[in-house]
Amino acid sequence: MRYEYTPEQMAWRDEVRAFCRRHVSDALRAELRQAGNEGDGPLAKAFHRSLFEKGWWGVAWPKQFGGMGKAAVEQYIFVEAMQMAGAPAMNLSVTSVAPTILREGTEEQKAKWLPPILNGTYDFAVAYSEPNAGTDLAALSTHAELEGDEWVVNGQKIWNTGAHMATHNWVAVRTETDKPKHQGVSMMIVPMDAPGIEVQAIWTMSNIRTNAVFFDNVRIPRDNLIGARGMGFYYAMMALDFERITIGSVGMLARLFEDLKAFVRRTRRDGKRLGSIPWVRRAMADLEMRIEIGRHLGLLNAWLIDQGQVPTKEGSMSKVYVTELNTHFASVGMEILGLAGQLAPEDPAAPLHGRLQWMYTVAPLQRFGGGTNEIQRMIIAQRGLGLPRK
Amino acid sequence: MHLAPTDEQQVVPAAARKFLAAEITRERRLAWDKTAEGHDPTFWKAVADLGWLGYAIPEAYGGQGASLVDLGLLVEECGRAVAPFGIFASLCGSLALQTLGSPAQKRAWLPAIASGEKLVTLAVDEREAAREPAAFRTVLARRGRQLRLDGEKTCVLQGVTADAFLVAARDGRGTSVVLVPRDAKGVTVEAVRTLAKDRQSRVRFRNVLLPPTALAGTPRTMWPRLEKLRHTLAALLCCDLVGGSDAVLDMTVAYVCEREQFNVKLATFQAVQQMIAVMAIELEGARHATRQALWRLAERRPAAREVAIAKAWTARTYRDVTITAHQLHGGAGYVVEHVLHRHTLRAKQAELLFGSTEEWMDELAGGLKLAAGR
Repeated sequence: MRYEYTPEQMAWRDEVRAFCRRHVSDALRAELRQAGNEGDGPLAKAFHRSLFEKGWWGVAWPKQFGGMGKAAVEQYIFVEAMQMAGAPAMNLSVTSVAPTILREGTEEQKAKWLPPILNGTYDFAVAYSEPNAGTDLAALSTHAELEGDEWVVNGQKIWNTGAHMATHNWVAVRTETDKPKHQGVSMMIVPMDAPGIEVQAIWTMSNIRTNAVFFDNVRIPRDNLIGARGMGFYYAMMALDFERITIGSVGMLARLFEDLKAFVRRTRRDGKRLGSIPWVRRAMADLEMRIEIGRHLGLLNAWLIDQGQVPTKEGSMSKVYVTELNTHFASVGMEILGLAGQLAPEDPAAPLHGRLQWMYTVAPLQRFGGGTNEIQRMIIAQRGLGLPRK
Repeated sequence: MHLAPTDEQQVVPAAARKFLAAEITRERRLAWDKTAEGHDPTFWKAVADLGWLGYAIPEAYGGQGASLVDLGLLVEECGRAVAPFGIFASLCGSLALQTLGSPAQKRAWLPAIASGEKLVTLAVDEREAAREPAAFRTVLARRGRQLRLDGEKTCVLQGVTADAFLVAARDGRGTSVVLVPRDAKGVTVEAVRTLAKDRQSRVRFRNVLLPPTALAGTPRTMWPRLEKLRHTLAALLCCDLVGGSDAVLDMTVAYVCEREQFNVKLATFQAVQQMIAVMAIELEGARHATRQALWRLAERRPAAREVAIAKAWTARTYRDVTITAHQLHGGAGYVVEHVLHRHTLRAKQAELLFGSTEEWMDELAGGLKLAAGR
């Protein structure tokens, strides 16, 4: 038993932190807040370029596929350090699309798609959900038929975030109508400038724009189907691997907690130091404790992966715990900020740049997205503890 | 980083689990409930013969020299079995003597503790004092070369069967610790009834005269060492609570998988599955918070923050796990023949021992230095 990083892991953490100190400036963080979800600004683009140059886009992915082949604990360290620095998140093209092409694509497909993804020329949105296929993703009905050398795609996707800016869409499509629902889905790349695509904006509570996207006889080359026919559902599940380590990271919470601590230390209310008020102290200690528990669950998940296990139960625990903690943290944190907690991010007087109220509005998405927390708890009960399905 | 016990570290706990499951029958427990010591001599001797009472005592003093981490894994098993709390009391007393006692005291007592012949227990808390040394009413005075002890201690674990007490006392402006034999003149021990039916005591010291050799450590300087010891014992207690939570989760899973209502197993209801999953999540956090705290103490790293988190989170988890378990067991888990109530009572009581949940939250807040700004 040993509750400490190895010297190599500590060196890796220090290396990532040093990189962040050099490349994550206040100006970059301000640009990220300004941009919200509307694409990378020039500083974020430059940051991603420096990540590519360093070879760190592929921290998680096997060496034979051009990644760094870092173990899961090292990935956790990487994500936590990046989040703590307030660095731009890795985009889905890099974390989700490129690895799947690397692992499942043909040599031609790799040569065609990977370089422009990695140099930032191509930017992908990911289209899985449909109005009638959310948690039950395999029920999706957007379909494609092969006509000569082209797939003809028809149907509708929803929650297709970033589709209005992306050059390409990574779309889960039913191609095998005679197979069971999980085995009938394929993954396709649809260029967003193809005729027959319509993108409609959907605005959300957190000011994040997402989209409904309609496909009306959209024709794409036959070779845009990546990997094997009928395997798309499994590719989508596989791509969640990296995401789970990211979702289970408490780096952002730890950063906000540091900011909140600084606020409490410098603020006086009714003639008292905020940090001397008992309920504030109690609330802060509680947040500190909860973040530490979250770190344990995230690290446990990563560590078990490195032991060659498939931590289905622990991955779900980490997802449920951290997403619910996000809600709690934002809610309690706003109370500590007091009336100023309601100030919108664009108000210059908003403490912590309004990040807590932003987090409060984003938190529901994290709880129902990426596999709802209720589904995760059923996974824990059924696959983790052996409770029966029926 | 290695977030699980090694194969080697699992040998003793695995044997302990088997032993306790075989030895502690329902009938035996009900019989123990009626005894003064909460166990019987045969059981106590068997535990001693297995080497548990001297597991973490250095070999030079007749023990096995196990690390604090290994001791914690053994305590997890005691918690899983809700074993008689006298075992935990003995482990606390021997850890106290190891860290505070003089070499002569260690030579005189540790081998006998290891063999199960003697029990030394710690007496710190008072009715109106626990964390503030200046508030202690138990006082050590000098009478020529002799020492005189007066005062009253509460919540003395297993005081009823103790052979000696390690007593914290105000000594001038400082705090001293003295080792007081049970049979010294002026010592009276009164059994106290508690929620968890363990064997705590109220111990009175009236004009107890002691030789200078009764002093443990350097007089008047012992408060910081007592506080450090409390951190260690709190972390060790957490191990008991993790084992207990584990057992309660296991028995609840087994029960809902077997019990049928409306012609289906309870376990098939989504509401039940959600409740079970919440228990499992909190427990996994408790397990690693506890093991991390104990590991840091064993490695002599700063651990105040980690102990505070472990104690607050783990005691609360055990409490909540037992509350949910009662809901899922219904009447079956409510009767005294069922072991569940023993966990429930120990869980709530453990929230109060070695610093309550709220007190640890307060300590954790102190470590954040929230009022440090200008």
